[in-house]
Amino acid sequence: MLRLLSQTKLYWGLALIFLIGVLTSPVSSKGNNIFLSYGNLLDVLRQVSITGLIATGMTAVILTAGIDLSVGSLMAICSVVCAMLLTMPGWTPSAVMGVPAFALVAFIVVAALVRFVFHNRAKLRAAADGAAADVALDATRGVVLPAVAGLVAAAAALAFVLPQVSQTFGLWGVLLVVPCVGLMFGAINGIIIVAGRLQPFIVTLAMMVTALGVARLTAGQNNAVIPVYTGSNATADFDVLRSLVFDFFPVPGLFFIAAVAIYGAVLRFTPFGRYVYAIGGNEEAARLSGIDVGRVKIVTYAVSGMLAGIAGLLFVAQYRQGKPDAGSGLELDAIAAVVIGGTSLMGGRGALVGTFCGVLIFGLLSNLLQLHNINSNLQLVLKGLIIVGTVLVQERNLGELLSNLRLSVRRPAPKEPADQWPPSTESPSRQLGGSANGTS
Amino acid sequence: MPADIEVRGPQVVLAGRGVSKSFLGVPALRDVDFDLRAGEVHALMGENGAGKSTLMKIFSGVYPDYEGEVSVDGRPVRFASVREAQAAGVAIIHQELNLVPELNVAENIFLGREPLIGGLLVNRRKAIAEATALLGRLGIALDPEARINTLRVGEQQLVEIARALSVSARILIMDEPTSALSPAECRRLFSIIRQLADAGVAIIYISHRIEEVMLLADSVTVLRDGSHVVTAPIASFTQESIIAAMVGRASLGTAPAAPDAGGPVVLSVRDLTLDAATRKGWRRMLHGVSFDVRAGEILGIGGLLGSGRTEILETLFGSTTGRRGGEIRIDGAPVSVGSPRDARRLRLALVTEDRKAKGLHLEASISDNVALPSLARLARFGVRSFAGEARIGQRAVDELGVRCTGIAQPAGTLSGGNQQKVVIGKWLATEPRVLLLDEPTRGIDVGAKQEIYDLVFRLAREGLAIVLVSSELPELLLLADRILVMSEGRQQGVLDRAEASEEAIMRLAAPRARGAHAPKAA
Amino acid sequence: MERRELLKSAGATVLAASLVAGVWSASAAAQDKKWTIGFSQATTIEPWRAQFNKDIIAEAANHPEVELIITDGEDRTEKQVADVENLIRQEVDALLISPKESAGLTGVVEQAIDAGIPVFVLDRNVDTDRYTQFVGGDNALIGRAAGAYAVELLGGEGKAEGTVVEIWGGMGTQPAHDRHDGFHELTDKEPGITYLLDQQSGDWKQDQAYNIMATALRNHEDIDIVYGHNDPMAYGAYLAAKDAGREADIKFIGIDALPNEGVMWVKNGELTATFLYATPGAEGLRQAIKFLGGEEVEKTVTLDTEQVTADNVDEVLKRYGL
Repeated sequence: MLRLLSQTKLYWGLALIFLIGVLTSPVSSKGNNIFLSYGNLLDVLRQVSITGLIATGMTAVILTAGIDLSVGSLMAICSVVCAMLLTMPGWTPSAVMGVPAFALVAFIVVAALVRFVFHNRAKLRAAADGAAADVALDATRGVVLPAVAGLVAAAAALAFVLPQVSQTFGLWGVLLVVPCVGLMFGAINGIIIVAGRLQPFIVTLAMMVTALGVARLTAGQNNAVIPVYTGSNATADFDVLRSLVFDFFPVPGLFFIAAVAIYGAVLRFTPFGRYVYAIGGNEEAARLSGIDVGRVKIVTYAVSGMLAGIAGLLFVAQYRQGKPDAGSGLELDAIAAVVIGGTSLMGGRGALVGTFCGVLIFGLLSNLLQLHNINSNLQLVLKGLIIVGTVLVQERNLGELLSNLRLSVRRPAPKEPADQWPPSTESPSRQLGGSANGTS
Repeated sequence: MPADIEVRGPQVVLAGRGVSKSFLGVPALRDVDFDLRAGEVHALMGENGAGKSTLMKIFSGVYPDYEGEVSVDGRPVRFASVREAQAAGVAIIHQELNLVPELNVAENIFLGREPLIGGLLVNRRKAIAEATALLGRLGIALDPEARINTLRVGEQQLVEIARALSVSARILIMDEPTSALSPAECRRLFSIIRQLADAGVAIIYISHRIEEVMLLADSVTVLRDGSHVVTAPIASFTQESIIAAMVGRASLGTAPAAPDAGGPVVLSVRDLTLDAATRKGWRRMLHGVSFDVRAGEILGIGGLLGSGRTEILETLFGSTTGRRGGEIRIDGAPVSVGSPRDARRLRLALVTEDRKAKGLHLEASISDNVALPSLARLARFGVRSFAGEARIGQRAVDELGVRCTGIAQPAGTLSGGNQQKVVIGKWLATEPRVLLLDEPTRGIDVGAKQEIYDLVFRLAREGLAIVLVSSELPELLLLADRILVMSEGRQQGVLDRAEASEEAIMRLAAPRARGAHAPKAA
Repeated sequence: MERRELLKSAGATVLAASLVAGVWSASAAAQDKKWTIGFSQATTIEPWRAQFNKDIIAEAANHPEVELIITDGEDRTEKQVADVENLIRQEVDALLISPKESAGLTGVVEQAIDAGIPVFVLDRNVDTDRYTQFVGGDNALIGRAAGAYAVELLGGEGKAEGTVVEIWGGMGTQPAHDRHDGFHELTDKEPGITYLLDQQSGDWKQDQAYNIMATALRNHEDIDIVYGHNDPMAYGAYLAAKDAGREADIKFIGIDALPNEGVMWVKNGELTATFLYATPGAEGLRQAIKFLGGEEVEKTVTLDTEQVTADNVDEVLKRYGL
């Protein structure tokens, strides 16, 4: 029973906050519970979507035992790029960054896709023949055709996007180009981390600072913000990203839920997803099992950047401006949500559904505090306490926690739910002159 | 009270009566009696799961919760913590050493009990002086200011012993102390142990190495399945009788009747070299190794620690970082193995020597572990085939006889032998042609070892080419059709089954003067 | 080997020569300038401050004998302190500073004064009065003007009735407190005015104000006036109201009145009123040049404010040439 409670404690936390919200909510003049009102809950969903997108990308990165501190700055750059593309015609720095990025990403994605299809069809054929070994593609199918398809895709991308440079970009233009900018920056993170064999903390920290500088240079020295007035200096279509679908569901919320669903499925149902967990659990063992650790890591950082780019788009839509300091502090909110959601910072453990709950918990909490008019500064203190408290509960199982609280010391609890089957103690550590670890 | 114990000193310093403990309802110790006298070296033996570790953890204060009685010097005690046990004079030296690598010898010896000036500052000079004196008393020639991570494992172990003694331990428990030592270091350890015993320290010595125990111990206790089987002075035992007590049956295992090693050459290696990057430049680890392995053949690689055996396997598998040279051919075609990915595609498999650190994901299930290298192959259009993964997981469990509660059991909760089987199963699922094994039975009890030997023979019969690195000479002699002996990175010779013996191997393996190398053709 | 060494020494000579030449020409160029004036800006990430910098640079262009060095504190006190120390070491003839916050920058300002550099404090003050001059708007005055306007909107003195949402600027800054205090001096006197929020800070940022307003709209069905301590925040609140469909019922008051921002928003009917908070950079520079030229300058120069509403917005725009 205790174990079941332990495993579902995340959902209990969410339910608890929800309950507190409903019970303590202020009431409108018509007697409706404001917290529980449709409008309020949708507001919360909309507000958390931006952080949520970033937390989604962050989850996979943390699962590989890495971290991405640059997401806030990447979102800022993308918000600047988005705002500039929407409002300023010509070859602005944003266009210079965005157009090649889009073409490059189109090339890579389509080439990889074509190769993927060929590979799997060959696997199907081989399985029918009964062979069990790995299937390799010949040069035509493996390299030439994908490359050609990629070039075609890149050309199509350029054809679509180049005309928009001289006027300003339309909705689809930014929707396609801006995430690619984020993806490129994220990929740079990944490449430096893998090729340089450097700590993710340092590399993404450096990128955070660099990206901020790039964002400010792109915006221009004398532009603190780039205002976007849809309908006058920018296309009115862009308002879609701020609107309600079917008149009731916020579009940002759609993006967030779609991201969680898609990435969650990838992590659960694809070999790639399993590799992510394997690398976080034991990177050396994963490498020695023949997994291409470098490629997997680069992809996680690239996707993290891309999601930050989409978050940037939504930011511009919502607040009608792009600015270089848009996402400051956002990476910490995202990491907090991921950790609250049960993903371990050591990697190898956790799930996207947990992050989803973590983001909601955070959002509902903020909403609660705001509805009760709690002083801004006090809100920060409370949030910090909640994070620590939640992680404490997450990292221990409930049994241990309860027995720690028990005051009697003479005889420890007769049931020891924390004990596992005694782990094997035979294999000694073989490090000659290396570090000494305790017995597992 | 167990009978037939030769009284070696009148005083029983540590005794257990009716000691029992269960984990989650499963008994690990059943009603065990145990006596330890001052000045004796008392060996504790048994298969894995027999309860040795559990008993020792009770004695050293790790488990305060158990049934039965423990007494020290006749006084009943129940240690609530390791600290309390230490205060009573019981010290345990674990298999995995508990030293801080960045600190030096003296600091580690006095960790937590540093001599202070005025109660605040650490008195480094005094610590070093006392450490020097302590090491001197033990006859250990170590620099007290040397950092732990610059010492070899054997030397680190001596530091642990010194630390135990610095807290005036009268009862010393040593868990598998020699598993990572060279023969010379073993000898030094044994002489120190004898010294301590002569000085009145009582020592409990846990080991799987029977020859060692025969040399060192005064008396032996055997546990099996949590129960006490026998306690008697060493004189009344032979190797076989100890094994019989541990396992319930006699021998180590024999080679199958007619080992068949005549297939075509699968793996061919010429002039393999490996250079490792050090701060002072490149250092040559392998100086041109050449050999062939046929399908169905087991090639053993012998030699001392550091002679390059593991490096050969890692180079073949593509998992080293370093400059490689030479030629590798598989089925006659030259190949380049740049990474484990390449190796897997070429149908090579490597079972590493440190399964916990490099071979397994301890938190993952058995089937997740077994399926990992084969995930991509089994997947269809990017989607994992859970059915396929379960299939190969179950197949590994069935064919290799992994004792578990099911393929969903986390690999970290299996015993050593079963974990090793999972690692082997993982690689067998990739249908390799060449299987590289590095110390496959390290830390595995006698019963499970036999199962692994049978498995290796079976795989050879089925046509796999197997390269086996082992530090246990009997194992090497049993399994290998031919043995390639390495010394200091150079190939010294290849011995056939007929001409191989422990002396022959040791003779080739011993380090020699420069210029005396004439490797025999493989 | 000899040739290689020859080349090396030749290369080194060339390098050294060009370095010397470079420095010489730079200092020669610098000698054309009579005065070097350093300006330490707190941050450029807010629109008002970006305008601030633009204005002071434009003013500097009118004085060719002045070399203006601008540093950016990047919104961090430590950075701004380091900037000022740097300027002191460069021995600038005068120091203009718009501090991020009063307490943290006081020490280094006194250092400059002790080093004999005249200091002109702009926009926000420091905790010492040994500076040569303070140039800035009077935030309390502006707050009072805004408060008076709010009272008028709500029914006039003595009869004002309505609800007010106040969105603070950064709570660690003096201007926010002054604008708050000034406003409340007028509005606290009216018993019919209720304040809906308690110390909610938008940190001078449009997006944060948006979020605060969105929740306020959720919580309160009846909001009459939004008072944002600066225009971006008032505008952010406007956007939130617009997205909720309630912007017609609410009046928005902001401060800054930058020509292409606050003033334009008033023209568009989005903000009801804004109050000019002039950037003190240009004036400060002029005063500094006056002082260096040997003239006396006053201790405090207070810049005027101006109320901008729909009535006079066209005229204001014309004045700016728009």
